[in-house]
Amino acid sequence: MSLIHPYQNEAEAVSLDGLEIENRTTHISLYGTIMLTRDKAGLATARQLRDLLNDIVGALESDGALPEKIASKETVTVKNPFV
Amino acid sequence: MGWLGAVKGAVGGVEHLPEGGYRLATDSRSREQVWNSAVNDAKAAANFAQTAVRTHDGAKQQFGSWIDSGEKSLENKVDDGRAWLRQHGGVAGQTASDWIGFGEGVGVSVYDAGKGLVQLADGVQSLTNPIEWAANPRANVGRVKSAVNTVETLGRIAGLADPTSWITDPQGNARLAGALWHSTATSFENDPAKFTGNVVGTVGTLFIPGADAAGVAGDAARATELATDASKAAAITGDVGKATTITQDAGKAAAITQQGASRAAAITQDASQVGVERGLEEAGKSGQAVAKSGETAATAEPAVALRVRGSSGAKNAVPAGAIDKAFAGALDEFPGGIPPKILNPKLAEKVHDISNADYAVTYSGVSRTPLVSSEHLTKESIEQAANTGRRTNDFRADLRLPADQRAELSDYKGFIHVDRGHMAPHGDMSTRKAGSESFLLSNMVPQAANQNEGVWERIESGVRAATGAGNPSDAGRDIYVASGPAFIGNDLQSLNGRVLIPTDTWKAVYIPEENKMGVYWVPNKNTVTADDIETISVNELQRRIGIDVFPSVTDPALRDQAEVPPIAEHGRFGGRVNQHDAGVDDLTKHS
Repeated sequence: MSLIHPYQNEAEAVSLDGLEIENRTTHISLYGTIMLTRDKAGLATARQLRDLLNDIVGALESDGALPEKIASKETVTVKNPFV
Repeated sequence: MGWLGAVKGAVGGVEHLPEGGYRLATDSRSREQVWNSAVNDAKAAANFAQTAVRTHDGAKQQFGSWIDSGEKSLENKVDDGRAWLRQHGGVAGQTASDWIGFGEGVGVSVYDAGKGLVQLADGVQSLTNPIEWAANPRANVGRVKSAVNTVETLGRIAGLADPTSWITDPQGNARLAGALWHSTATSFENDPAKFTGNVVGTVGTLFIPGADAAGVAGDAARATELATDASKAAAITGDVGKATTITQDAGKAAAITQQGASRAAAITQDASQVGVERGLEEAGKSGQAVAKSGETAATAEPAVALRVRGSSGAKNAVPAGAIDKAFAGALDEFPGGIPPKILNPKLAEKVHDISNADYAVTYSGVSRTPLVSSEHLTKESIEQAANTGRRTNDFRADLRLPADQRAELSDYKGFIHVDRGHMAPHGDMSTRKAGSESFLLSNMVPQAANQNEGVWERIESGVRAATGAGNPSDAGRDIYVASGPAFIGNDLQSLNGRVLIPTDTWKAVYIPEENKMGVYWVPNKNTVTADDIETISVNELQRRIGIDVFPSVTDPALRDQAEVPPIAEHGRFGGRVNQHDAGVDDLTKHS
């Protein structure tokens, strides 16, 4: 089972050991730390991580309109309503 | 509404007005009668519950272990069901899957009632489909009414009902159902739109057997499979020792935790006694009895309606309540039970008080962010958090807020270096339900990704470690935490002109046992490092943001102190951080 559906939504958030994975339509964030122990649990976690990266690479490779570099939306300046 | 008001409401004889107030009787004779009868009811209920507890210890244990295993089973099934729906359900499946995120929390909360006393009556299963609720709120109001009648009937013939809940408190359950119906109807009449978002959860907490949303995708077999397990959740242990909060309001009809006394919405055997007695004493002092309305059934049993903060005693007994009603139900998250105080009047516009299982939010519909997310951490709660299976969650809008004042996922879409930054961290949440709630956008600010994923996470882990979690030789200590954004300067950046981007984020920490208080202050920039953390006092924080985050603490020495726990070397969840090797130097530079 896929951990996330890469770039498909803005909602999914998954924790893998100490690694936080957040799905966005423009990017996927991975942060935190992860420990892959030399045991069966470590193997299971490592496989999940590999599958996650495979899913991400697959999604990017199959995207026919992949730009060189994606642009972020610009923030908008507003008056501070609290001063 | 003060807690005293809730006690009055709880003991009966109040008319619960739509705006959340209470109407006092004008006739003194009727007041006295009602009051006396309420006092007797309360005493009888307390005695009844105590007797039941003594008599059914064996049943409690049996049901307790059964619920524990049932919870795991439900979680697995919900996860499977969610994945299955996403894969096979197309648009309907996606919708249903999204709802399961919601239903899951509700379902888990019902399981969490492992120690509570919420009753599911046969025949209300048709009420359990949130999508159906959204589509046919009016029809379902009628169905709730029927269900309530059923429950009330069952209450009158307690011997025929489910043994556990009714054994402990049949009257309470019947009245609880009545209270639910009353608040449901009131809420619906006042605001049908809000009703669907809000009351589904209310009704759900009482009646939803977890994962029925799967039925929407049309896979009857799977829905049945889920529901079978979930229906077990509805039967609740007789362990009054860790029970439930029932409010008279639509926001949270039955909030249930399993965290024991320190966080419980409890009617522990002792607490209920103390709470009821205290309530009677206080109410007696005030000399104000209350009038009995036509809605007799709409009043909850006193033992049930009190929320008592456990370990430190019933003095903090507070009422449960709803959104927009001054945090009823979440006062445990604040030192002294006093929520943050907004001093800058411009911040006080469109403010909503939101209660969740493990944190409370002072929310601004102007910035569309929290102003303060408040938590009360204990060693136990953080150790529970570390052991909570944290798997899939969903960022999502908080539908309890008015549509024009809440942040949506689409607000954050397209901003690559802006995170949806938790103010109350996911890693602090002690149950799956609480963890899921931490992903509501009412707990999020637009946070610089590098700050959120780096320095901020190290601060969060440092605070968790300071509870003593994960350290067997440390007895542990309670920590009150308040976190939020700062909006400094005449101009601000925003997401689409809708969600304000804070200039800084801060986290205030109060450790009563050690007489320590201080605030981490961090610029909301992607270039931020640990060297940029400023350590300030709560008074200085108040000067900068216009909010007193710990108004119950008045000692000037404490309020001017800038003492915070060391941040963690590496951001890790739960008790996995060794506080002794954390980056002390980073902080002492600034203090």
